[in-house]
Amino acid sequence: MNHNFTRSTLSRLSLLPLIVTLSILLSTTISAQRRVTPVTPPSPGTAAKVEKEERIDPSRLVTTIDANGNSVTVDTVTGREYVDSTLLKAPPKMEYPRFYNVIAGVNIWDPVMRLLGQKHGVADVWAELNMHNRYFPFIGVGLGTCNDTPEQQNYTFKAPLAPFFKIGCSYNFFYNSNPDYKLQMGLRYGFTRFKWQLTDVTVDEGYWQDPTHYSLPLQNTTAGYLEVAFGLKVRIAGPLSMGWSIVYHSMLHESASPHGKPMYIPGFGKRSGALSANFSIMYTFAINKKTHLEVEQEKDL
Amino acid sequence: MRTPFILLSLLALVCMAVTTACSNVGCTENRNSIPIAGFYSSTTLDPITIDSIAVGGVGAPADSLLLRNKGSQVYLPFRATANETKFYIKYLQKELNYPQFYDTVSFAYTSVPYFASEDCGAMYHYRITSLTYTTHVLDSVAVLDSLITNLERETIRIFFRTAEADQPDEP
Repeated sequence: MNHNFTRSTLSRLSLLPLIVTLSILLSTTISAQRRVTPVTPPSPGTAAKVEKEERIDPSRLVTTIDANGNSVTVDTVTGREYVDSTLLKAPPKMEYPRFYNVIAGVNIWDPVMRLLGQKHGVADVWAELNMHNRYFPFIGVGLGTCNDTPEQQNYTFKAPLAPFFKIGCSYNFFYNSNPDYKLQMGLRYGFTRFKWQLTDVTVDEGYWQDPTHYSLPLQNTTAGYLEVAFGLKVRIAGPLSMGWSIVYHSMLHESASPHGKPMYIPGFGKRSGALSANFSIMYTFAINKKTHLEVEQEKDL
Repeated sequence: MRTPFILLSLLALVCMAVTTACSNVGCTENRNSIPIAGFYSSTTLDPITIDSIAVGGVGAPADSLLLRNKGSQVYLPFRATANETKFYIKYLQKELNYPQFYDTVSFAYTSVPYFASEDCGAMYHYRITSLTYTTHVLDSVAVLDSLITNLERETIRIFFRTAEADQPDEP
């Protein structure tokens, strides 16, 4: 009896792992089926599409200019535009040649202001080279003088006629527009060497009632200054133009003197004001003509 | 494009003329070089205000005074026509109001013509070369900066013997 019990028990026990395994598999299968995503298999006999990166043969590429003046590279075999993604964005094309013209001008601001009572300044002439109608290297030379007895003051200031020089560059914001009109900003360095003196000086502090008089002899001075000019230019007729600019100036260096600093510097103007102005009549000398953009038509292949 | 450009340019021209004409800021300093002397206690070295005091220039027209009665500072204008200027200090307090107690301070200097600016004008700068003074009530005189300019600043200090609160004044 016991023998038979043992054999039956063993057989049941050997079945137990199989039953447990089947149960696990069944439950897993059921769970997997709940999560599976149906996929439409490809039709038998067809291959999956694989897009190959097409190599560009440089010999097939042609660069043309479209109607808007843009440079376009075209594959002559496929007819499609080729864009080189490694290229940097091209700067705006400048329509005017490198050396377009030379502008010569006479600054008549000081003569005009003298008619209105100003006691200093003479005039100056200058020239600019038009590069791409964008950059304008500048050079100028002029004369300045001063003979002024300010109101309610105790002196007369005199500076004999002396030259000054300026060099710099301007930038035209309307560089791809009509060159007859400019809106520009420029930087200039000015330099002068001149003399100044004081005459008819009366010093009276009031307490001693004993005024004294003196004259300061000519003092030699060298000065350099910076100008920032912002101006306009307008063509009047033919090669003649007029231009206005307002100038902010600042002294960069000047020679020291135990008798103080002069109130007037040739080319700079009065030391008391940070702003001055220019008003010029200009003449334009043409050098090169503006290049025309040509549109090349794409050949039919 | 020409017309608005010209109009804008004319407007700019007017603005420029006004701007350049209105660039004067005026004189912010003195129009003459006049030294300022401050009063100090020789004991505490602190600034003091002296009551009953008179300061004037020796030889000034009509004996005009620079300071009368009360003050803590005084202007001492130098004579531009000379190389030396002398000032007197009178003590008007009852126990000190005697000529033998008056003090004098004398400055010797060189004058340098100087142009300050368009608005401040021309003047002299003075360089003090020597200083002498009596010490009846005055203790000492100090020159902070020997160059006297038109800047508004104290360049001379006069130290007086001052009585402490628990000490009587000694004539």
